[in-house]
Amino acid sequence: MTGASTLASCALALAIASLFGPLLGRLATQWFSGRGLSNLLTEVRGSFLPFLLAAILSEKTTWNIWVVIGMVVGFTQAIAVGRWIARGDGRRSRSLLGGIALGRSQAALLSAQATASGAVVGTLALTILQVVLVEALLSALDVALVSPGGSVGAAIFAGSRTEIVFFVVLGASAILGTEALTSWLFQRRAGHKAR
Amino acid sequence: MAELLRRILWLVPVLVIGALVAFLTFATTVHVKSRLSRPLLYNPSPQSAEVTARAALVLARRGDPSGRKQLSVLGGAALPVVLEELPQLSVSEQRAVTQGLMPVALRMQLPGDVGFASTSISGQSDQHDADRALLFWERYTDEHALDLRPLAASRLVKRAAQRDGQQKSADLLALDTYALPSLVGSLGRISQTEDVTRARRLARTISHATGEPFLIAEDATVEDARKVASAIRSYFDEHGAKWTQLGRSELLVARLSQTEFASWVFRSTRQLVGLDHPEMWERFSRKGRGSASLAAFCLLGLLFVGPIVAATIQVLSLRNSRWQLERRGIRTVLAFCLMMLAALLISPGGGTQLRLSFLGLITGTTFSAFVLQRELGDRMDWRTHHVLRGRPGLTKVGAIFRWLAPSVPTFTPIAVAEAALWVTCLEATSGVDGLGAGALRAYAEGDLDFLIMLCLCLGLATGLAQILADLLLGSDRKVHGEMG
Repeated sequence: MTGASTLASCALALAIASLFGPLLGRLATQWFSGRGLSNLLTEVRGSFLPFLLAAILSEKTTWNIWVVIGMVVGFTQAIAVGRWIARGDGRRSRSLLGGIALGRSQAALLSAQATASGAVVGTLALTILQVVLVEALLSALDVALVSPGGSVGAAIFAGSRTEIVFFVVLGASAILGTEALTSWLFQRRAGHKAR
Repeated sequence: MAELLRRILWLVPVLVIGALVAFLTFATTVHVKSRLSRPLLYNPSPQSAEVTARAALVLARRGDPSGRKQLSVLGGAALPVVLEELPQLSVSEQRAVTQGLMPVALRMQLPGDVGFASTSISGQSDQHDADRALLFWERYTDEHALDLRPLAASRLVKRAAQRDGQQKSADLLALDTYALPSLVGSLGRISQTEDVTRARRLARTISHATGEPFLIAEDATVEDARKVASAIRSYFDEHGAKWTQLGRSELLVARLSQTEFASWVFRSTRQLVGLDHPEMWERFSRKGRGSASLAAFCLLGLLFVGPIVAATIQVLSLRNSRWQLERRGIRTVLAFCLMMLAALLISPGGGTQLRLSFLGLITGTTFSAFVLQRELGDRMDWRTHHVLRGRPGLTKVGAIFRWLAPSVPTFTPIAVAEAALWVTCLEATSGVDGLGAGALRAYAEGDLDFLIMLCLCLGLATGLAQILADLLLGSDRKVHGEMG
């Protein structure tokens, strides 16, 4: 077992969530007033269990299963990130007031601030958890392409006890690595150096 | 209040569109598709008794056995077309057509006329029998032509439904499948013993016309009768179009109503308003009871215990000067805990409900603590840490909870989806028969109704959680005088 499929899914999901999450958040706060888009997407996210979507997508396309899992989890995480950004708590920081004075809209500044929040980084850091759970449930659904060989979730679901230690170490490292990466991506600006 | 009402009312169209999207998503999967026979949303060639009867007549007059078979299945519903066309056919064609109608004549049980039919069906028919059959249908036209009208049929059904009577039953049998739409429509709501008696009378005739075993026993309860009536309606949803007389405008509507989506809408609506036995809802609520406690513990961890743990960690970290190092250590511990819990979630093995609930609670707590502690940690850079360190304990706690307050409502709708995923994992690995395990089975078996119901319920739960959360967020902003 290499876990290559899990890591590939995780990387793809992270890329999609990092790209689309802030975009969805900004769409909801700056371009569509009233956060209706964010509300709708969150309801869609809640309605469809991700493993069912992954199973359907793998049935309809010829994509590799790691791509399917990565895409489904990526968009799921992107919507969660979008909600965190759209619901920025509206703190009036000095940088916000300064930005308004310089002519930037309050919405733009709030969403920029919310994108750099710890909840966004925390949500993205837990992407691997979603990937592993979806892998396990896809193997429960008997989706043929999920092989315990490359997928950690499927291996553990199949009853492999020896790989649990590997899974825990790999997963925790992935969480911490992802957190560091997303923190670097979203929190590089002045005022966030302490993180 | 107006905002609350607006958001709740918006949920209705969202759920309707959601149902359509969920239907299209699941109906095109392999397992579901194999169970569906009609177009999904638009039927370019809807069925009606007239359309089907004309097609069958064309085949039957050529002597095609499939045409004869179709005519016998169509039965009385085909007669308005067939009896009108019959005199215009050649003698040989008439004989071929009446041969197809022989099983119908037998089903009608008209006294003294069916001797030819039984010999013909047994394969010993001759020209003499064929002529007797022609005579039979001529006589039938003379005697029953007026009954083969929608209003007459519905009156007859209404009378037959009210009380038993040999004459009424004989008249209904003489109409055969022509009366089926009225018979099915007259089943109505079954809520008391009088309804059971009425349904029994109607079901007997329906069963006779369709050849399906829709019978209500003499000692049947209201529930039993409702189940049979539901089965009849479901059967009629699927097969009833060929027995239904439709006008031109009705045929236009049938392009939408004779689809799988419309069939699902009719079936679900009947169950929702209590016309049909709520089989799906019963199954769903039975499974839901198994999942509810697991989901409740997951949500308890995610929305209550997790935030408290995150806040406690943050308050405790204020007492330590090496705050940055400690924060990273805490995150590492939480990450390892989360992965261990994930391993437990997906490892196969039984477990009591208590163990599973505890696992859900701990997982929810750790997940929530990780995300919210990360959020709180960001609020507290070295300046705020330095300022708060010197303050009294209650001030620290107040500051932490004030920072945490907007995060929990924001997290709530996200948490609902997370809890649903974990509950499914717990049920898949432990063998608990709940909604999650039901979803896995429904997907494998192509149970469209269950999958759509699950999606709608999850969507509704998320929507309501979101409305509640946004209300809390709004009040939080008002309290702190901040802009949204």
